Amino acid sequence: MKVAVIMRTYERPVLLARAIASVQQQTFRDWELVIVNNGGDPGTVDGIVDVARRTTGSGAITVLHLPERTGMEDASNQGLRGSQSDYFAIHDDDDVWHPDFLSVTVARLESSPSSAAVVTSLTKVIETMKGNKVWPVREESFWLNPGRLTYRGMIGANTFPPIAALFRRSVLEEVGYFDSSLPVLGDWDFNLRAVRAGGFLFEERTLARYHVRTEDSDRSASNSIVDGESLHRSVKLELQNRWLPEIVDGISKGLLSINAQAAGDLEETRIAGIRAVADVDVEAIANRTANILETRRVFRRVWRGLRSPGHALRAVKRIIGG
Amino acid sequence: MTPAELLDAHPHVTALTLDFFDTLVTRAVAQPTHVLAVMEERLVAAEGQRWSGFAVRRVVAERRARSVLTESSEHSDVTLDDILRELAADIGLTLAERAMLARLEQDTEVELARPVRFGAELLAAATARGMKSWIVSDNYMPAAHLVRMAKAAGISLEREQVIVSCEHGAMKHDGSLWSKVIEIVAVEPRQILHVGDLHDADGSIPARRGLNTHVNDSMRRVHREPLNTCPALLPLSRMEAVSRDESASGDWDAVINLARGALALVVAGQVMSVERIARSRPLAGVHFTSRDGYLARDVYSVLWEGDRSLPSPGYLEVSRSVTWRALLTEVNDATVHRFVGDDERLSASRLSARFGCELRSSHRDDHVLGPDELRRLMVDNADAIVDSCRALRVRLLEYLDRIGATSPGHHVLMDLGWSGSVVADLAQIVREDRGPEVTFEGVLTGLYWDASSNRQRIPLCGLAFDEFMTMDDNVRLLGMIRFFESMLTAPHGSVVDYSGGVPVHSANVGLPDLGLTPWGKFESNTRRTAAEIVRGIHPLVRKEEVSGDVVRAAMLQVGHTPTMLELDSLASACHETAIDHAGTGINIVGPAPSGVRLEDIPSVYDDLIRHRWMQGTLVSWEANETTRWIADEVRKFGPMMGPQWVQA
Repeated sequence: MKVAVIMRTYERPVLLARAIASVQQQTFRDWELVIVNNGGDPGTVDGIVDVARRTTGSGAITVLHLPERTGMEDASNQGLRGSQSDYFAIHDDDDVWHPDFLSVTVARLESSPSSAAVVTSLTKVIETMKGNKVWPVREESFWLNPGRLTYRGMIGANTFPPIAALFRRSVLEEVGYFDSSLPVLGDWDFNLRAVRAGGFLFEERTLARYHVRTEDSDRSASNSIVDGESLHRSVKLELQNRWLPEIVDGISKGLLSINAQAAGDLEETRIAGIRAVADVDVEAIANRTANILETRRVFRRVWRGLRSPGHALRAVKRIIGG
Repeated sequence: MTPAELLDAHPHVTALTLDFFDTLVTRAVAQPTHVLAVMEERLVAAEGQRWSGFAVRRVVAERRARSVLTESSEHSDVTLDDILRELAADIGLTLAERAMLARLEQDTEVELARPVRFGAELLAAATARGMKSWIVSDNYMPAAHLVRMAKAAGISLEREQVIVSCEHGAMKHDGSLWSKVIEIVAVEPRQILHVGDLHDADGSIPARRGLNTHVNDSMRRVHREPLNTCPALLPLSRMEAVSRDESASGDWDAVINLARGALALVVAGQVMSVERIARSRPLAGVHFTSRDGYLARDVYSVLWEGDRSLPSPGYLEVSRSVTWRALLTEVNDATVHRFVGDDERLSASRLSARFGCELRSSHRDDHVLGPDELRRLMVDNADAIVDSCRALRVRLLEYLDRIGATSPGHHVLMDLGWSGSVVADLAQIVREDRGPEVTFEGVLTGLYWDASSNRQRIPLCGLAFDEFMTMDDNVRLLGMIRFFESMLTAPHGSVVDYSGGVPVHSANVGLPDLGLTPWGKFESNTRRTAAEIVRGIHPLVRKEEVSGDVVRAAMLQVGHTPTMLELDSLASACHETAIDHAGTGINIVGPAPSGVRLEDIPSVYDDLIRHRWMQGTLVSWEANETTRWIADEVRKFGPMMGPQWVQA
């Protein structure tokens, strides 16, 4: 197969069914989907795959049932080792692709043999999931550009979710597999290694949809990032500490990451500051200014009256006379 | 009125001035901005995705150029160069690319140029009578280009002078160009007859200057929102352009235009999505489900007649009310809400009819009950209802056996949409009763987000819409559902039961009200055009270009931005709403609510999206001065309901 699509899943049948359909509806046909059931009920996954296999389309679906739940990166590695292909993608079970995702990304990598991966523009979809029902709440564009796909662009933070990327498989031989010891952010760590192996292409077309659930969704539907924010922070720190002795281009990789993150934070603070200034209550400022002007006017009248009592007397008469 | 009659009606006239676009020359597309979509298609084919979205950006650039010019000069018109300068600032163009785009636009315009019969005959008649003629146009293209276009359309403008706004620093629509025209023509205004397609720029404004005017806007019948332009729209655009040209001098039947355009494309897409599956794997059956698959079944039959290697066409009569009842095994709080809507008020006897059994009630048969009482009545008669539903399930399976829908193997069910729950319910019933060797796949024209949960029960694919597309398009689809259901529904009642393996239909058999257009004429035009497309013999649409994108574009073009002529024709069209299929339903184009306040807008929005053809209703409210504000406010509440659906 040309492309191996690795899909990790755990007890989210309604999302899994949608994710499989997104692969099956690819206009590019030469793919193998490896579903890694990460310790969930095998019967549920088999049932969904059984339904999916009945659909018309090409590509093979393989299911790996892991006996107990393991880390996300270990699950990815098991899926990758269970497949053979020229390219691979990590397709999370809650995300979806545009039908042209594989056809466009494969073509980009075919025409650029030195590139390690291609990353497409994507949309962030915020949805609510309750029971077996999923409905969208809103969509946001996910800010991405070629600069954010360079080593320097990615060292400060993870700049894109896996759903937006297609990798050349040979990268695995060059930089190794995903780091199974990481509970989260294994994709960031891998991306940083992979980008040094060949650089990432940027595809402007929006071909991926990255889904996150709202806070009031069922617990089982949560995203690793949204739900595990503190875990992400601690793993990020751990990675930066781990990278401190690692020298890249003569600079400590850990320091580079910390600096890039600080620069990013500073930029965000600056933007927040601009927003805060913009959000100041304009009406309140206007009222205050009007009060000051009114007070000044009264003072001016009193001062003029004191300087010219005759003028003041005439003014009082005018007021009394109506 | 013929050209000769028009000239006869103005015997004192010695000079003729003619508008150019849509009066003398038109294009082989439905509206001017679709020329840019033809350019985009060519640019993408030649140079790749970089040019994707070019057409809409080019329209935006033109608007920006006009607004920049308005700030600096009162009467001038923009030039193509001004527009391309704005476009260059937006998408980044080199000078060479700007020159290439200017050439391509002019060449494409020339290639698509077609004569307007009335205008061409009028020009010839005036010349034959010894009158002098001038062409007067508000346009950003130079006069020489208009002469070239006319020549390509078979009209020679060698003797006529062409007066174009961008070359004279003045425009028709603000009146400034008319002074120059009178000066150039050099006769008294009352001796000039001007003919054009715009009521103000070609009618009332020159009339105020003393010119005789005649407005013929027949070529604008298929104009919709200019910003909606993209290559996927081109098949429909070409079809609508031909309909427009064919009826230019006669009456316009907006419903037949829909039949021969967007609806034929939808039906062709439905058939081709089934054909694609049938040619790729062995199937035990192909079933077009009632009532929305009615026309598609007929068109598929035409295909099958010519190629018996395809599975034979089946028509599977099923409805939401039948599958819901066939799956009902328990009457409880959760299930009663399915069968009695929150706003329903019915008699006990009607509720009995809904379940096909006698419900015991202390109320008189004709006494009208509210939703809570009706639900209580259901719970009180739970056993009778469950027994009746069980018996219905047996009759449904008997029917499915008879039509071959339970034979072992894989069956494809084609339905219009929208969540796939009816086909998923049907698949569940068959699997439970006939075993796992009978499998189903749902091929739907449009799926919206609710499809996610049904994907666990049945493989589903949405031809034109699904949850892999944008959320805005999903909401737009929700707003258009009533329109497509009304237009593509079979002219027989809904199935409410089965008897001896034969469907029993609801009593409300009546042909959909399409205004002045007879249903049979509408149906035969849709069927014939769709059949031509799927057989690959349609003169304007290549079979291989009918993709999901093309069907979606066609659906959005008519469903999201209908014309007033279409709305007038469909003013009486109704949509069936009750679960038991009783009653006449409600109008798809809703009346404006009376006494509405700003705080009511969310509920107005909610009512429209649940019960009406939302976009059609909004366009009709917009056309009325007193209700326009409601349409505006609803669009502010749901911005995706604004006229633009092609993403900029």
